Amino acid sequence: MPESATSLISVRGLSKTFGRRRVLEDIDFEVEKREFLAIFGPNGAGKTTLIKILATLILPSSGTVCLDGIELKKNPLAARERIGLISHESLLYGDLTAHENLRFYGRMFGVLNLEERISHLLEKVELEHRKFDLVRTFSRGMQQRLSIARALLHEPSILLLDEPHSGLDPHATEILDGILEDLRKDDHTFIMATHNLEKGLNHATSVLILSQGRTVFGGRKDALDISDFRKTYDGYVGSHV
Amino acid sequence: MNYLRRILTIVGKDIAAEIRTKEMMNSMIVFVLLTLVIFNFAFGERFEGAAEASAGILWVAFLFAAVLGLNRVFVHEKDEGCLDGLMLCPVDRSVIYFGKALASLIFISVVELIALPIFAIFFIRTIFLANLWLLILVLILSNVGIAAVGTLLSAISINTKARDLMLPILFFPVIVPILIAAVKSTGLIISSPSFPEDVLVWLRMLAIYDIIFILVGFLTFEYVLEE
Amino acid sequence: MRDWIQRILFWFSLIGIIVSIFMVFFYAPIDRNLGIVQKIFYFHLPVAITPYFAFLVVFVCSILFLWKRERRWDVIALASAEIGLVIDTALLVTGTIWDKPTWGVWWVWEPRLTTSLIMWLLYAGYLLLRRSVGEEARRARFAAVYGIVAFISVPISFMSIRWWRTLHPLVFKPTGIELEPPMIFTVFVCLIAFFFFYLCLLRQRIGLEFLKEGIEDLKDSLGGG
Repeated sequence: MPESATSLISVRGLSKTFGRRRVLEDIDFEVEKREFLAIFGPNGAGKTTLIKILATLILPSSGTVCLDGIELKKNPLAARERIGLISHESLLYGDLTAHENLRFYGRMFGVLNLEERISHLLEKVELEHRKFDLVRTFSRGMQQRLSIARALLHEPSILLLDEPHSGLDPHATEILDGILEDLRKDDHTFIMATHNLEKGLNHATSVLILSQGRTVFGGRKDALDISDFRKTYDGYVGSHV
Repeated sequence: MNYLRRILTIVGKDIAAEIRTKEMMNSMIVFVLLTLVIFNFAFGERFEGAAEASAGILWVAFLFAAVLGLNRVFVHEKDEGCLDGLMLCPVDRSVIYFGKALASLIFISVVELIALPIFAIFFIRTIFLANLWLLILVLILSNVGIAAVGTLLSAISINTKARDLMLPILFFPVIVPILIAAVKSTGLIISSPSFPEDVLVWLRMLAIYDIIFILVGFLTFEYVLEE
Repeated sequence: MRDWIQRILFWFSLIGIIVSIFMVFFYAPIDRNLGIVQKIFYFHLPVAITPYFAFLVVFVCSILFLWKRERRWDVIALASAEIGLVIDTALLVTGTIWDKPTWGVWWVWEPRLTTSLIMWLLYAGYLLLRRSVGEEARRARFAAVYGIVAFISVPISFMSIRWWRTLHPLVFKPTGIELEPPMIFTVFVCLIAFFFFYLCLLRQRIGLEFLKEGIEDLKDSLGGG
């Protein structure tokens, strides 16, 4: 990740402590526009915390995060307009229909031409036929697809993904990957936390490996030996533990 | 303007979900009725027509029902990480607070309005309708305080190990002034055919309480959400 | 340095309490109306004031914690809440003993005593809340918010209970205490002694909490290494 003043996302000296527990320590990285950063690491490495900090859900203890020139701490509201989050939870209300869910989030974001946008997105995630059904009745894969539509409602330029593949059947995974590929063509920038090495590496242009809250590798994918990535990964994680 | 619109969007969402499931309202209404009936058995005929005592019964029933409902305020936000979804919206954290508090206020008020005539039939012999508007005012002022404190404490208790047990323990000692003021003013209103002057003291007390705790909730809610 | 302050606080409060006991029994005259039982007043008054002060400390530290996010404010708040609750318990016990000769019954829903009872419930809830949250940072945040809410509700409760009582005149009339100058002086000494006692306990409790944390840190380093 080359350093430059024009990086879309820049994270500097980021640390997070929960009480006495240090979860992230001195994380630095930059992500350029249209890049896809995959964050790997064993359980408890701090991947989810890092994604949540980028999504303004958690405040960092120290350090700065800038998205598109906006400092997260100073102007979280403007930053949120640019962020879409897809996590392993759907963030959808089971007692509302697909349409009601999207309409609710759309209004919260102040999306213009909301109905058009909703139809367009439901078409994209192949859920038009279930528009007026309760989300409670959806399968895991369908909920995740709707969750993608929810994340894209306000046309964010940065997509944060936290284990998006977890709990998905092969068909849903295929659709998710297809949508991700489409979005990459549309100038989106991605940061994905995952323990799925294969999936992560497929999409990635850059890689960040975390272990116990510290960066053990950060750089372009080219700099990694990916012929046997599992071994390389274990090497990085193992060398630190 | 946008601030208000977003608050109402959250309220609308909560009302839509509640109308569909009726989970919270149904149990609250049944609970109020149960409490009124049980009090009647516990005290026999002794409190019939004794205005202040029956006002006490009414408010104990209302407060218990309110706790029951307040316990549920954040339950739906917790499953599937919806609270994170709300926090991702480009709105101040206080919008979430006011949205949830306003929704609770509406639910509690509707339950009370349904329960009130039944209470009157059970416990009151002579009804003075002249002061009905005053009674509604007392209900609204009390409910604002209950919702303001209850929503804040509910957001805390939902994240504790004891969950449902924690809210009443935190909530009741804080709500004492509301209980006293509501019981006193309700007692005065239902026992008086004319405008009871003494009620003004209690209305002022309720208003002061409301203003203070809306402010406290507004200022501290983000610290409850934010890690 | 810490030890040094602790030692001073300890001796100040020990000497202060011994001196106050002597003054209560040998210096202050026996009350004309109430007799020997009035002596409990010298203990009751400082005990009545200290919880308010202790909970004020909780309130201020809660605000400071949310503002600065420094752990020590949380520790001080916890320590002060525990001590305040213990002293409040003592207050309720002496209060009931005091009620018997003055009002003729063990318990009267008199504003000050009732407020102390509600305060007891508030801060018992505060400590229960702390026990009910496992994650440390979250516990501190929640406790701080409740520490603020609880303290703000105390004066409003007091006011409402007072109005509630005044509209219902009390059946029992208290027999007044006429304070003579030696009595006032004794009360003053008792107050100061008790204040140091509170500070001494607070300091001790804070030290204990940091010690506990030191142990946890050691455990972590052993487990992690």
